[in-house]
Amino acid sequence: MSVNIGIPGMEKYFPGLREGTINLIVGAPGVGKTILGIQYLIDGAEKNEDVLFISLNESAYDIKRDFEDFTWNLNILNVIDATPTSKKREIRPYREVTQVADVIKMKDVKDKYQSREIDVFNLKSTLKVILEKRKFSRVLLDSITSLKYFYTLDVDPEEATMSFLDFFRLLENTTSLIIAEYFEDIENIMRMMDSVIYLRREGTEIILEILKTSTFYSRSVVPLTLTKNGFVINEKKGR
Amino acid sequence: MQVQKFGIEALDNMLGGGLRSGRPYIISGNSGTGKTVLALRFLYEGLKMGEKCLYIATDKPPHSTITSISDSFGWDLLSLNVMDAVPTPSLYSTVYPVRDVTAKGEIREISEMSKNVEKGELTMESIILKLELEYKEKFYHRVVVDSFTTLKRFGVEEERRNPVMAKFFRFFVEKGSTVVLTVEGNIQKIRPELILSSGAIHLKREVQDMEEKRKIAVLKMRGSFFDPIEREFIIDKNGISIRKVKSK
Repeated sequence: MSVNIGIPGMEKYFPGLREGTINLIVGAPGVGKTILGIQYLIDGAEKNEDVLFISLNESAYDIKRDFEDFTWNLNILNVIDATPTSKKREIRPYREVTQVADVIKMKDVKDKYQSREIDVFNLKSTLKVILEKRKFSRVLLDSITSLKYFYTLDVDPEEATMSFLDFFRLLENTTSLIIAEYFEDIENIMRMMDSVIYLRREGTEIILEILKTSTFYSRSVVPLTLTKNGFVINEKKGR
Repeated sequence: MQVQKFGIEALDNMLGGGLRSGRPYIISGNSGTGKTVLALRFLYEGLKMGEKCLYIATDKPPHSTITSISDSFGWDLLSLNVMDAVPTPSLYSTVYPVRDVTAKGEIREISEMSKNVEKGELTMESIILKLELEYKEKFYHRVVVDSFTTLKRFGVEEERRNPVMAKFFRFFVEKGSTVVLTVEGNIQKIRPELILSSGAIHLKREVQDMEEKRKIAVLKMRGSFFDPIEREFIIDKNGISIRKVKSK
């Protein structure tokens, strides 16, 4: 079974993500990785699937405002706001293992910012508790680079990142899409992915390239245009 | 969506209207590319709109920068609040790269600044504490940190650098201030800043055939249909002017 990434007509070239796998979107800052990720979730939500957005980069409140110009109804998404607080880190004799975040519907996001101390450990245990109780067909994590850079105090960032990703790999029936910045230290992450989608900019156009996949595809480079309905294939430039 | 403009029409258009209120942005580029001028242009525009603006200086004492910019471009920056966060020479010592001292940096009106203000030995976290107190009394619409790179280098130990930087960016988001941080160095060196910011403007200065060329491009702009095309710009007595893209 293939899971559509949400770009209309894309299945002509690339059938989609393999159900139950872990997949990657990579690209430089500002290229539209989050937009494509949200498009993937919206596609599922519109088919009445239960989808989940785990946001480390921006609070749910800010994400909602970022997408005001799009025609999408973000309110139907579930979100875990895992952005950290600026408050001083409390020194505790033990590691915090209580649940640090909750799933909420985007439409119920009202508070601007929550204030919990979040790191790779308590986020992972929180996700474990949540995802054991509730099955999501699609999950988006934005981004693994943020996790590695900003959530890994006192631990080896590389190891922590890998074990965090491993958790997504073990989720049954959930097709995960992970966002990463395209930095050269990404090889280890790419290796554990079922598919890797690379977004890059050429002038005003965005080029989608399938770097890796285990499914069959007929074309690996697809020019896209960004519209208020999200990414669409730029057919004129095709072939 | 509320935006805050630079007051440079071509740049505001490239950004999709301006910077989105309450978010962190970076202006990146090597030394001498015009980061400080552009950052102060942002504050000058805010002052003209009657907004409260704060300039946090870490490279040079703020009064000298502000005076020279005001004189060069005729911008009235007198109602600007400034924070002198220039590290004292001891901070540059290789033996103790960082001293954890409580904030001494004072925020004052530029008009009261004298040349011999006691300087604080500031860390990234002590600046957050200092600003926390400052924000109890007043809100800032626009804040500039110039340069963030110096603060990063001298204001936090290396092993805690990234998480503390995340807190620093986060502070302004929680307060609702639009903050512009100037950063130096190539893309590899500024990765964390690129991720933490809601948008990035990159400046370049090239010399070809004895002729100086300055270039500006928007690299990233969350929540906006921005224009990524690089343009040439000039800095002269009228401030910053961006040239039209030559049509091919």
